[in-house]
Amino acid sequence: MPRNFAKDHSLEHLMALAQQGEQQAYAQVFHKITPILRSFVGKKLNRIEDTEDVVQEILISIHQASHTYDSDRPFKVWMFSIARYRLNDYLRTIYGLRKKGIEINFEDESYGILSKENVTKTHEDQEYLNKIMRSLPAKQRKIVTMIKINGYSIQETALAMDMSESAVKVSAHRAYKILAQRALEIKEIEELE
Amino acid sequence: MKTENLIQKLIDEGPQKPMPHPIKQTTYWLLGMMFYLLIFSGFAGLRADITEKFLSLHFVIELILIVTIGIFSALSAFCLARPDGQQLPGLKIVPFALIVMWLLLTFSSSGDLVNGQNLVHSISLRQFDCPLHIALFSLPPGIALFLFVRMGATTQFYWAGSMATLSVTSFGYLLMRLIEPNDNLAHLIIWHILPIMVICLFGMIIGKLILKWR
Repeated sequence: MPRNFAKDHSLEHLMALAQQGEQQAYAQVFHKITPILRSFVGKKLNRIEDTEDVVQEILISIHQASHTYDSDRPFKVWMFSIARYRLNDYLRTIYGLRKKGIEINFEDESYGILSKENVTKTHEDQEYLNKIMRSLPAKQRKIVTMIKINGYSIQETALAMDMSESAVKVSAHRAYKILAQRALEIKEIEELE
Repeated sequence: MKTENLIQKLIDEGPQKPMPHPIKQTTYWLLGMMFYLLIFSGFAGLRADITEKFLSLHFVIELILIVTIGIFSALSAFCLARPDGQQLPGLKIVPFALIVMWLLLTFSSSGDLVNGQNLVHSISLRQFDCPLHIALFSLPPGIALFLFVRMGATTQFYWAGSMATLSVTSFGYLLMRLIEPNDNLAHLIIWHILPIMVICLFGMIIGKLILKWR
């Protein structure tokens, strides 16, 4: 008979129950940790697809290492040790590829819609672009416009905006993230329609 | 695959049975090592002056310290087999603190006998049988300990590898102290301690190759 988990919802308790064979507790563990992991990985990676891939890797690793969890110890420390290890593994692979000269251009893959060739291709595209660009704060919109539409370099943009280069980069990355999210939402709405 | 589908798959598989507690693992390990040491020393034969040596408090303390180093480094290796091994950072330091204590004890009693001339003389004797004995003795339990640690999910493979190697070589050193009637400190440094340090460095590299959680 399934237990009443309302008594203790701590991850430590749930994982201890899971290790005793309680499938329901194991399910609760995964459902509780997935958003935490998504947020943790999302802070380090820009692309949503990459974040999801790494989160899945971490979930698999947590499952594979479930025998190493000691219920006397804090669950989150154990979980984040695995998450950090897998995330570093992933980043090492990416940087390793870059070192070998294989450039991975996140923006071009994910936000190809913003490239100079695409933006003026059709009126429809232009409208679409305007629609998602409106979701950005004014400053970020200006940065994205300067870099992706007008073709200014980061240096030139920084000079024009009276900002440091790194601040421009950070701002641009945040903007791309918002744009990707907005694009996904629009896509989902269109699919539903 | 969607994350939700993956989660369902993992839930269906269910978690693995938890590993025994590191202290329990170390206890079994210690019992096994003692049994192995007994058999090995039985074959090799104890040193002729063993009864006399056991009457020396200095020798007894030295042996106790070596066994403690072996125990704590094994415990550390078993803890490091867990991904959250860093929760017990002090545990990695304990074997080193014990090594310092042991060095202080050894040098306080006969450190003045060690000088460049003695060390050079000891090297010239080329007593390779000592490190060979230590390595041969350490190899089977070393393989076993690495396999036990590998059953976990270590994220600190260098540390885990060196701790596992330190544990087995400590018992190797203990064996040599029980079977070899040579208390010359220069000999112990050149043909026992230095080879153990080299083996431990090798264990670190092996740790990366074998223990790295993929």
